[in-house]
Amino acid sequence: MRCLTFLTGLAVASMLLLSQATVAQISGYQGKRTLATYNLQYFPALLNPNANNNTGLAAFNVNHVLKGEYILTRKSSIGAQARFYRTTVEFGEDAIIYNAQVSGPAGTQFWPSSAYTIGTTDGFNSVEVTERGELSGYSIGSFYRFYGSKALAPLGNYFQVGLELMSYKVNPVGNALQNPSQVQLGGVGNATFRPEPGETVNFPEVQEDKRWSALAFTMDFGRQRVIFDRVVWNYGIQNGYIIAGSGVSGFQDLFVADNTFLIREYDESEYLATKGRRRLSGVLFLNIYMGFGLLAF
Amino acid sequence: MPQKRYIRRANSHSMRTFLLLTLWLLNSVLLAQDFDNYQPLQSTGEIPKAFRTLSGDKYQKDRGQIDQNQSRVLRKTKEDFYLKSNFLVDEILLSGKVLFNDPVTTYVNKVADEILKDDPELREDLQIYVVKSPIVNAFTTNNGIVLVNLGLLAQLENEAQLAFVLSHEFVHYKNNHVINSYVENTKIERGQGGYQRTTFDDKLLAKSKYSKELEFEADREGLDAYLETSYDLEAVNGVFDVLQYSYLPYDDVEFKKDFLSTPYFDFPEDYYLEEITPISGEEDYDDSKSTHPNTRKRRKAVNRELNETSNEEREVFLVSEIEFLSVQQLARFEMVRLYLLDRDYANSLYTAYLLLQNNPNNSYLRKAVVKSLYGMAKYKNAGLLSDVLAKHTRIEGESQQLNFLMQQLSGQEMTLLAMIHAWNLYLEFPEDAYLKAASEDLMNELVFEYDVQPKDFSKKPKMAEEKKESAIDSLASKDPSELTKYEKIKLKKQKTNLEEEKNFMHYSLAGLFQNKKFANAFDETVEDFKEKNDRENVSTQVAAQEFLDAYNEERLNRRKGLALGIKNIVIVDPVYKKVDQRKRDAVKYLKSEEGQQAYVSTIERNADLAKLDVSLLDTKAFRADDVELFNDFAALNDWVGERFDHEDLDFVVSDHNRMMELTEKYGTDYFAWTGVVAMRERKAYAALYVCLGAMTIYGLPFALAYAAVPEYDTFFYFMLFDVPNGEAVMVERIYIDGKDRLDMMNSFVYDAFFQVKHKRK
Repeated sequence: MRCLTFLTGLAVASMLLLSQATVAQISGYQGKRTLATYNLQYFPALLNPNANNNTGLAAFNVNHVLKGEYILTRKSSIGAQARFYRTTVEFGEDAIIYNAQVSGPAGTQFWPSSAYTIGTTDGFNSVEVTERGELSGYSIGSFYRFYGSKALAPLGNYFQVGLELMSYKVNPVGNALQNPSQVQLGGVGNATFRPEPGETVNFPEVQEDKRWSALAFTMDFGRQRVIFDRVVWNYGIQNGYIIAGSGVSGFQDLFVADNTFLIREYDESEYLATKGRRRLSGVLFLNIYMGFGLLAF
Repeated sequence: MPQKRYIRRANSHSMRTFLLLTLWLLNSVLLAQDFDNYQPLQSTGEIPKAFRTLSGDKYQKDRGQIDQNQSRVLRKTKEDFYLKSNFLVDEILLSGKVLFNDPVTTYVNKVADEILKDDPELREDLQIYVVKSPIVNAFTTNNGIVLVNLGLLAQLENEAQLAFVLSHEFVHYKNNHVINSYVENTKIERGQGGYQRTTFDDKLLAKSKYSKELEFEADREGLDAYLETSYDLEAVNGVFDVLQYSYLPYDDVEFKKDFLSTPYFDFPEDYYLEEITPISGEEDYDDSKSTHPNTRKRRKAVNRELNETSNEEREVFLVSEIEFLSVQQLARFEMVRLYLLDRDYANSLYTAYLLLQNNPNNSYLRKAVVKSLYGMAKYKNAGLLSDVLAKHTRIEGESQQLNFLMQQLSGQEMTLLAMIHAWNLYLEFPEDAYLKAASEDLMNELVFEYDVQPKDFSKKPKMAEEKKESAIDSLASKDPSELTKYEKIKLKKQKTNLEEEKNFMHYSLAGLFQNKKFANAFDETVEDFKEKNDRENVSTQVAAQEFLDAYNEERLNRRKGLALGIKNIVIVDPVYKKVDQRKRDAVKYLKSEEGQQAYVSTIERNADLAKLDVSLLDTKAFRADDVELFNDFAALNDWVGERFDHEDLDFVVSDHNRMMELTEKYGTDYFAWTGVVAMRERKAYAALYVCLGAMTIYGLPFALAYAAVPEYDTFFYFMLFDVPNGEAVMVERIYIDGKDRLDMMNSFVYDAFFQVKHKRK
C-alpha cells in the first residue's frame, strides 16, 4: 500500500517537474497549456446493478472524474486525475457472510463477529442475510496522453494511458430486515451454506469503515475540442484493469467462480476486499465518457 | 509674301518638328522606362474597382439580372456561369499577373478608344488590361474585361494589328459569346436542345464546332468594326501571320557562335549544328477539336471582305508609332523576365540575345543572359535539364542552335560557362545582389560538384595556335635521336599543353584569374570544400556526433516545434478553399470567399495573441490607393511561383534583387504563404457497410448513420521562406480528419506563429 502511494506521489511529482521544464516551450492552445476538466464516465448497467441497484440499458454505472492536464509537447500531455465512484456489489450465494443476524438455538441471538461452533444438537432454522453492498470510493492517478498525428495538443484525437490508485470500501446496503432473504438451514430450503455439526463458523463483524486499495491501469481513446477559446469538451472510451490490490492474499483471478468466496475460505475483510476489487474491475473495464472543462492558463 | 509664306511654312515645319519632338519627349516621360536599367512593369494609380469588389457581390449582381421568364434549367445554367466566371476572372485579376495604368495598358486602352470612338456606350462597358504572360493570346470575359497578353504585344508588328485583335475581342463581349458558349456547352454535356447523348469525342467535336462558329463571327464582325476605323487593311493578314508563327520567338536571327564565348575560349565546332530545321508554320492544321479555326480558314474568311475594301487613306498607326514601338519594346523586355519565371531559359536567353542586337550594353539583358545560363547549369547539375530545356529537334528556326549548344555542354562546362558570365558581370556590377549570389553559388557548384581547383586551369591565355604548333612541328620533324635532352623535354611539355587545349575550357578562366577578387574567392571556395571533406573523413566520431546532433534537433523540433525567434513576418494572400468533392462543380466559391475573410481574421487574432508582428498582403482587402501593396504582392507571387517550380533545388531566383528591396521595405526576410482547403468527400464503402448492416439487421442503424454523415477533411499549410536565401525555413502541412472548425484553425495558426516567434531557451 505504501509502495503504491509512493508510486502515485512520484508520478504526480514527476508531472510537476516536467511541467516546470516545459514552461512556454510549446504553443498549447493559443498559449494556454493547462486544462481542468470534469468527465462523466458511464456505461449501461448490463451485468451489474448501478448504485441504485438498477440494471438494464437505461440504467448506468457512473464515475465522476476530475482531471488536470498539462501540455508537454505538440503531441503529448500529462495529467493528474481524481475519480469518484459508487455502485452496487451483489453478494449472491455467498451473501451469508454479510449476515447480521443468525437464528440459533431457541432464544440465542448471534451477532456479527462472533464465532459459533455448531453442536450436534443445535437446531438452526434460518439465516437472515444481506444480498448486496455499496461499493464506493475514489482514486487518484496520473495519465499520459499521446495526441494523434493529425492533432495538436490539446486538440484532436488522443490515446491515453493512466495509472490510478483506487481506494474503496464496501458497505452492506440497509439491513437484514429491510432486505430479508431466508436461507434455510438444517435441511430445509435451498441453503447454500450448510454448516456441519462440529464445524466452527465465523460470523465476522461487518467493517463499514474499512478501506482497501487497488492499482488500476487505464487506456483511453478520445477526442478533445475547444469552444469559445476557453471551454474544453471531450469524449471518448476507456478500458481499465485492476493490476494489484491490498486486502487479499495472493493474486485473485477476476473470473473465478463465486463459490471461491465461501466463508470457509475467507474472513469477511478479505472477502469484501476481493469482492470489491472484482466489482471495481467491472466498473473500470469499459466506460464511455464525455466532459467539459476550462483552459486555465 | 512668298517669303512670308516660306517663313510661315518654315514656322509650320519647325512647329511640326517641335510638336513631334515634344510628343516624343512626352511619350518618353510618360513611358518613363530607362531600358538599360529596365524595371519590370508595375501597375500604377488607383486599383480599379473590378479588382476590389468581392466576387460574391459581383455574382449576386449578375444573378439579379437573369430574366426570370426563362426556363428554370436555363436560369440555373446562367447562375452557375455567373458564379464560376466571376470567381475565375477575379482569380486572374488578383493573381498579380494583370497590369493596370502601366504604360502598356494605357497604350492598349488608347487604341481601344480609337476603335470605339463612335461607340462610347460599348467603350464604357469595357475594361482592358494587360496580362504578364508570354503566351500569344488575348481573351474577353463576360463582364467586359478584355485581357491582352504581353506575349501577343511582343509579337505584333504594328498598332493596326493590335486594333484588329481588339475589334475581334470586343465582338466576343458584345455578342455575349462567353455565356452563350457556356450555355451551349452545358446543353451538349447534358444532351439537351437538339444534342443527343453521345460519346465524349462527339461532345468535344460539337463544342469545338460551336466555339469555332463564334470565332468566325468575332472575326467577321470584328472586321466590320475594324473597317469603320482608318486602320490599315494589310495589318489584318499580319495578325494571322503572328498567330501562325506564335510558337517562335519574336524574331528569327542567326545565333552567332561567339555570343557566349569569350576571348579566352571558344566552343568546339561540333557543338554547333551545321543546319537548322526550317520553320514549318503549318497553316492548315486539323482544327476539328480546336476552339479556334485554323489560320488558313480565318484568313480566307476575312480576305473575302478585305479584297472588296479599299486601303486608301488608311494608316498603320493612328494613336502613336513611337508609343507602339516603346510598348513593343517593353513587352519584349518583359518577355525575357517572364521566360525566366517560367524556367524557359533557352527562350529567355534567345530573346535577350535578340534584344541585345540593338542594345548591346544593356545591363538588364546581360543579366538575363547570366540568369538563363545559371538556371540551365543548376538544372543540368541536378540531372534535370530536360525539365527546362526542350530537345533541339523540337525547335524550329535559328533559336534551335542555342538549344543544341546547351545540350552539347557537359555539366562542368555549363557550370563553368555560367560562372564565367556571372563573374564577369558581377565584377562589373559588384553591388548587384543577384549577381553576387549567383556567382558564388556557381563557384560552389563547380568546386563541390566537380572537385575543380584553380590549378586545373591555365592562368595565362592560350598561346597562338600557329606559334605552338609550328614550335612542335619544328622539333617533331627532327630525328629523335638528334634531339638534345632539353629539346626532348620541351617537345614533351608542348605536346602536353596541346592535349590540354583540347579541353577548350582549360584557358577559360585566364581572364578572371587576373582579378584578385575572383582568384581569392576561388581559393576560399576550394578551402571550404577541403574543410568539409576533412571534417567528413578525419573522424567518424565527429561525423557520428554531427549526425546525432542533427537527429536530436529534428526530434526536438518534431516534439516541440521549431523555435525560429523571428519577430515579424509578411503573410502573402491567405488562401481558403471549400471543396465538395461529391459534386461535379467541386469548389464552393461563395463559402470559400466567406471562409477566406474568416481565415484572415483568425490570422490577425492569433498574431496578436502570439505577439508576432504580421503584415498581411490580402488581395481581397486592397483599397483603391494600395497600388504599392498590389505590386509587392505581384512580385511576391511571381517569386513564390518560381520558387515552387524549383522544388528542392537550392536556387537564386531571377527576381532576387526585387525581393531584396521588399525585405528592406518590410523589415523582414521572412514571407509566409498559408491556406486552408476544407474538403467534403464521399464516404468510402458506404454502400458496402449499409449492405452488411442490413444483413445483420442490428448493424443497419449504425451503417446508415455512417453513410449519412459526410466525410470531412481539412488541409492546412503554412510555409515560411527566408526570401533572400530562397530557403523554406518552416513548412507545416497538416491533414485533419474533420471539419475546418474554428478551434482547429486557431490552434494551427497560433502554433505556426508560436514556432516562428518562439526562441528556445
